[in-house]
Amino acid sequence: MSTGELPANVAALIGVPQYEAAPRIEANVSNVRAMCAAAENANPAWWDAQASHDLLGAAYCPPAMLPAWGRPEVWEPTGAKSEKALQAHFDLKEMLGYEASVAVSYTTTFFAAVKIGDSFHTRQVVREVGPVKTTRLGTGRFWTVEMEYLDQQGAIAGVESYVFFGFAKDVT
Amino acid sequence: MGVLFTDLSEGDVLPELRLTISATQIVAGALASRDYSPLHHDRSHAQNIANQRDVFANTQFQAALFERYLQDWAGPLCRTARMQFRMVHSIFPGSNVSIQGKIERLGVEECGPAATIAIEAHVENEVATRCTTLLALPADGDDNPWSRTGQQWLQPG
Repeated sequence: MSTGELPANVAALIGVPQYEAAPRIEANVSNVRAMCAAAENANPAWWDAQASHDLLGAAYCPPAMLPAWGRPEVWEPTGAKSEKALQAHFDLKEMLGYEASVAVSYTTTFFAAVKIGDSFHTRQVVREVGPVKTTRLGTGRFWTVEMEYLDQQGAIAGVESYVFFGFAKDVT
Repeated sequence: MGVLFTDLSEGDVLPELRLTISATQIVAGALASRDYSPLHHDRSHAQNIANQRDVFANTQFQAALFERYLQDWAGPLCRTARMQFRMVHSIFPGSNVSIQGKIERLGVEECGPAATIAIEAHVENEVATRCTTLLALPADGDDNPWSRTGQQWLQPG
């Protein structure tokens, strides 16, 4: 990309929900325990439903596990090829013609506490695509893509926000 | 049980957590978060395709480590409201990780009484990951951050 003007097909994506996906898995004890075992987290609220009720008021999940409840399976019996996590980012990279990208920052905001048994629809939104800039990595653009998690009533329970820098290595 | 908002001051330094991360933890953390990228379980892929020296910890496993660190310190009633990460270097099997946080700000935020905590995970004296967490805390012995909803908690938009 040598011009600063944003291609119309890219501009048209900004703010538009894409890749809306039905719930894939319920928030569950097995994944919570597996993660707490990996991290050696002894918080009794994550190991014992009664302790979670007594301490917190309900059987909640660790907030940082939210992305686990929206990821696709590694294979599905329909034979359909599963999209990549954050496909909207890979689409942008291709539409803008950048061969490389790096994640600059990642922010997760938790708008609601997740209980065991909750499930979430997901959708991806391109929030912003910046002007052409040159960094030590090359010339490209910064962009922000969000993954939204919506509960059974359609309320946003959490948002992952990724800032990427997509660039061409051989352009200075 | 645990830390109260009123116990704390801006500038307080949290206790350090040291741990050596195993390949098993990296793979278990990735699979628990349902992240099936071969970068986190297939050494050959990590080395030959991604030019990494080995499989490395995915973001969600690191988030789980930071939540564990905060809950070890603050107790089970603390509640994560927001986490912001900057990845600097990867965490590999055998990495000796040191995690330490500092309270940057204390105040009544959108999520109620809370601390903004700047955490750094170091590997061999280099920063691997920086994470700024907004952590809701009990205001007093009768308060439970997990009961905060509606206008008492973060709202989208």
